[in-house]
Amino acid sequence: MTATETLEQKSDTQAGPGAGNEVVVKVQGLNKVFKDFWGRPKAKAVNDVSFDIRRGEVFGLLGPNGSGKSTTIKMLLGLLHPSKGQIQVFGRSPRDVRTKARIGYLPEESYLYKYLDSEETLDFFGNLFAIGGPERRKRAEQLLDMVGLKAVHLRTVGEFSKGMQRRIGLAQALINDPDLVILYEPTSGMDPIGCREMKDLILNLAERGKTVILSSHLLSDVEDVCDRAVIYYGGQVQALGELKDLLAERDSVRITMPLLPKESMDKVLDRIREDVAEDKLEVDNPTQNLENYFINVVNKARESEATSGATSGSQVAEFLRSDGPVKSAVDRRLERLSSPVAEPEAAPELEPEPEAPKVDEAKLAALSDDKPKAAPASAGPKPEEKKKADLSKANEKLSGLLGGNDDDSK
Amino acid sequence: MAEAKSRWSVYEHPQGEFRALPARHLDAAALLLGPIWAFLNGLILLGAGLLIVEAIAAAGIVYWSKWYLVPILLIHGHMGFNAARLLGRVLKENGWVYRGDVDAPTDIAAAARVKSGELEPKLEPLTLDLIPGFFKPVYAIARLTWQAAFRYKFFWAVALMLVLVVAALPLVLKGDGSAEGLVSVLLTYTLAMVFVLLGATTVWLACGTLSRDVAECQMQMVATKPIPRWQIWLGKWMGIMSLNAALLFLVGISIYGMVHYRVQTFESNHERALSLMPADKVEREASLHFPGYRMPRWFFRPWAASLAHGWTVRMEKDAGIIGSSEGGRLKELQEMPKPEQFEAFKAAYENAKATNDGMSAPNWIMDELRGMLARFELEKVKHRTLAGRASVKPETSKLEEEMQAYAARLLHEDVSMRLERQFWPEGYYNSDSESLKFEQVPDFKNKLTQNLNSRVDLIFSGEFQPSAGKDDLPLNGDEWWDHWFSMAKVHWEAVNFSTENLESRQVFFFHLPGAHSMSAEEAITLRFKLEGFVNEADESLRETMQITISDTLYDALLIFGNGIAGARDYLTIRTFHEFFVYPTYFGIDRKNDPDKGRLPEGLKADSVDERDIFKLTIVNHGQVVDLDQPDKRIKFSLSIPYWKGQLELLYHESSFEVNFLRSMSVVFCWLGILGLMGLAMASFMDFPMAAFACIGLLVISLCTGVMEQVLADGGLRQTYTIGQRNTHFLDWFALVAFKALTSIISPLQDYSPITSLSEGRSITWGMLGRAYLVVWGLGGGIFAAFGMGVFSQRELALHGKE
Repeated sequence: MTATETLEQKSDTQAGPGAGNEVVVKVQGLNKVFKDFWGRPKAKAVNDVSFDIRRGEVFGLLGPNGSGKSTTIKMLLGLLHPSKGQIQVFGRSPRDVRTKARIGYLPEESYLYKYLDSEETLDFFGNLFAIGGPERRKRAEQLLDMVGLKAVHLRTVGEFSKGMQRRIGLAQALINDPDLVILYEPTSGMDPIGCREMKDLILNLAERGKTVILSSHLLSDVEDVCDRAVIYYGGQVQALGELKDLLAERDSVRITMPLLPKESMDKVLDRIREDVAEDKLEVDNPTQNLENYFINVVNKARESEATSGATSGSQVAEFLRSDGPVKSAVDRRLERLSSPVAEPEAAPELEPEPEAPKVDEAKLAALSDDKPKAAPASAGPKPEEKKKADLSKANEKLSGLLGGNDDDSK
Repeated sequence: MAEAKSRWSVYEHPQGEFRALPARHLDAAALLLGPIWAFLNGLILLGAGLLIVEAIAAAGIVYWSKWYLVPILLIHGHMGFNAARLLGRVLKENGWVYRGDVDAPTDIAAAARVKSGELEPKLEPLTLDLIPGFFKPVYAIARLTWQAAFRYKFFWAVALMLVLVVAALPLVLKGDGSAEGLVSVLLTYTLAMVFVLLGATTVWLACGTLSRDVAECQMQMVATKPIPRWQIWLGKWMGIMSLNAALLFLVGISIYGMVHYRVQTFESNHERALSLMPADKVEREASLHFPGYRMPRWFFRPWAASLAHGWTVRMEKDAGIIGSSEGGRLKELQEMPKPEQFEAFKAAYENAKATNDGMSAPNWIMDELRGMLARFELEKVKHRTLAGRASVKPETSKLEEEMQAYAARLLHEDVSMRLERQFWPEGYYNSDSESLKFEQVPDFKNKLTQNLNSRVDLIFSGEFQPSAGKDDLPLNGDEWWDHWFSMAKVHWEAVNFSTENLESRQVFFFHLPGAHSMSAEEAITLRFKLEGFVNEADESLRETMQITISDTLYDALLIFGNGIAGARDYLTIRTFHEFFVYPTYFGIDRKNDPDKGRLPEGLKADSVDERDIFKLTIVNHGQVVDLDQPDKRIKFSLSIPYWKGQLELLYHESSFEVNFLRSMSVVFCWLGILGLMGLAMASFMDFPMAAFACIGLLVISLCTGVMEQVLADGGLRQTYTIGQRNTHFLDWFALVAFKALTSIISPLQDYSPITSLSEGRSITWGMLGRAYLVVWGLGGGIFAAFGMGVFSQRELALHGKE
């Protein structure tokens, strides 16, 4: 049994934290062959892809450039027709208008009308969903507030920065309070605050039972919010399953606790050394996450400075808000790291891929720099190196598959 | 007592200030004051622009027409219903942010209570939602075209260009010197320019709006929303067409104003020119310059005849020859038969001339004649061009039957005279020329062709010798029949020379709606063209002869009705003539019927009888070569080519305004099909390709004449081998393709509003309906079905963003 098959089996039996049993997206034996003017095959973009996405899941769609994830998304949206295979979204064809009424889509770039201002943009898309006038304007006001564009809503989209365009793009994707949200590179071009808000929003949506499909090259974003992920290469699914299964290092454990007195710490370490070799043990002080640090600095600055650009979004729009508390992306990451692993055995290694693309060697070396360091326990390990080491194996797996981090195109 | 509360929209400034605006769907002050309200509320540019438009429209109401009230009402309505939105936008442009609505007694109280936290604004923005849910997606797409047109200044650029073309450039147009000609030129030029400019704009917009949305990937956003693709397509078309409607409205107002302005200017210029016109020219213009001049056409106008009676009395009084009191003489004149009325006028006029200086009549009568001529010009414009005239063609169905029978007889006679029995079609050899019926002609001529072809060697070898005087033997039956059919038509249209009223041609017009109940002041117009030819000339010879004799004049008498009302005049050939006819003028006063006793028992003197049948009698008094010797005549025949539709009676069907509106509707109809064509091409092509394809289709549509010729010829090639056409397999393809194309394109080409409007022809509601049915239903339907179908199946994400 291959690693992919193993993970697929798991994914059939397990759903994400907020997931229900209702299959929202069903993809079976999907193929897409692009043809030239004369009907001759030009490129096989998607090759026999099958997966299911359940209600309430945050599902990651990963892969290097040209691996077929864009094509898959566009087939999910009815913008391309499958050459072979089947797609069902909410039990219907993706081209059915009843299906489209339940989908929100944020494309990889701003495909909005440049001559409309943000209020008009939301009004336009609200009209396409046949939302009544007062409700449409109400939602537009709330969404503009949420994405932090209320103060600049009379500027046309063409005048917006890339990040602002992503924000208004997100707002239009949510105007219909969709049951399925497809986000393509949602944090691309966004400032760290925007990224954080975006991730919180995704989690909020999932908490409300919405299904989110997220395609991104920013693996930390995917890691922060996704329950399950599929990894494409060469138009085929290479890995599919729950993220915690994919990333878990089942042969090591991390304990985080308040600082102990030196005597107590020595006792604990001595006890551990009885079972663990010295070179396998690492002790350090946790560092603050850079994202958190940045947000704190900006929040302090905002109290005294004005800006002509996008402001930080306020709370999630009322019509999108979850009833219960929603864990932040950071909390989720910590939770994932500390949660018990479902399967005791080690995560299966992916088969070596004979046609793997060349990766950025320097980056790869930096990411996979996990040579054991004989640092004295008293001196303590360097925090930066330790953090890299924690994630090195997971990154190595993903980087091997994803290659570079260029903009994706079809 | 509870305080009276209104609803207020509260806005917050980043510096912590609050302001409240009334939240009302309709603002009475804005509705009443319009642009002034805009000024008072800081909308300076908008207010200034609208004020200029209203000032022009107000001038239009005063000087031209009450229709100019429409734009003023539209502006005030717009301001009234959009006041809250306009004010809100001003605030937003200045950095204010909408916080929500509250109920409070005043705006100050609303702002203060929100600022103090006493009231929490509810996010329930005021929105007038008039669009039904099912139509919202289509409306959104259509509105997008408007938003793009205004953001890119496209609308104003095109509007300015059109207004310049239709309002500024025509100021330098001159026309042919008559008010009628000027208006005709103005309408032809402006409508043609509008059609060309808006047509090009429509095709460009239609190709661009869809193909650019696909190329720039915006369509991916739209197509993933719950709107069927055909509705996207429809929305695009509706957007373009609503834009066209607005532009046509602007242009229509401009053309309408321009026409009235030019007519008014012409009137004053014309009066000035007439005041300087020498007396002999005035006489000529009033048809009073020939020695022994006959009753001019203007004498048939009731108002002109009435004026003439007054002048007659005054001239007789000046000459001291008045027999009774002025009133009595006037009554006496009114009761005279028309020819006698004119004789009295002529005698008084000649006498006045003789007693004045022998050369011209006294100044006062010349001034009166000038005034009358000025009024004629305006009357012509009013009745002919600034009107919607419907047309009635003469009743020819019975004549047609007779003519066809006559043509069959002529064919039979000629064939029996020129061919031996061996060439005769089987079963038709008969000495009785009446035996060949029109229904048998197709069979007869086919068999005749077969016989001639099978024995063509006898003819070419000289073995068969046609009898003397029978050269140019036609080699097929079609040719033979066409010749005699043409001759029969000529015979039936001919008005032979007649010195007295002994020989004439009578034509009947049926179904002239309500003509017998028209007032005496209402005129219908007889419009016709004459041809002149020697007797027995066939149609082709007739064409040739007219080139040589077109400069000469024919002395023709046209009698309307039962032989009393008529006009005799010298008429040119090959130009259209228009006569005013007053259908009930001669029967207004039955008790004092001036022609009483001169008509057969039971007949009335009206031109039109109770059954609305108009009878026209034409008498040909021959060709006049020299007007100074009018008695010298050449006995050429005249013909009225009514088979070609060149004889018709025009009656007032609608006002110019209504007709103009319908003409603009036909232009709109044509723009519609251009829009559909552009969208259909853009449904599967990029912008440049779609634009080229549209140009190609338009060029093809202009080549229907060539295609029809190929169809008539039966193939592309024109080579023959002994009377037989050489065929080629390409002919078959060409015939099928051309047949298909012409059957679609030709019906569309029948609906041109430009000629109709410039000739004052009515475009009836029926014609308008048919135009929409054919142009949109047939041509447009094909484009729409094709475009929507292709677009619905198109993969929209094949291209990356350009």
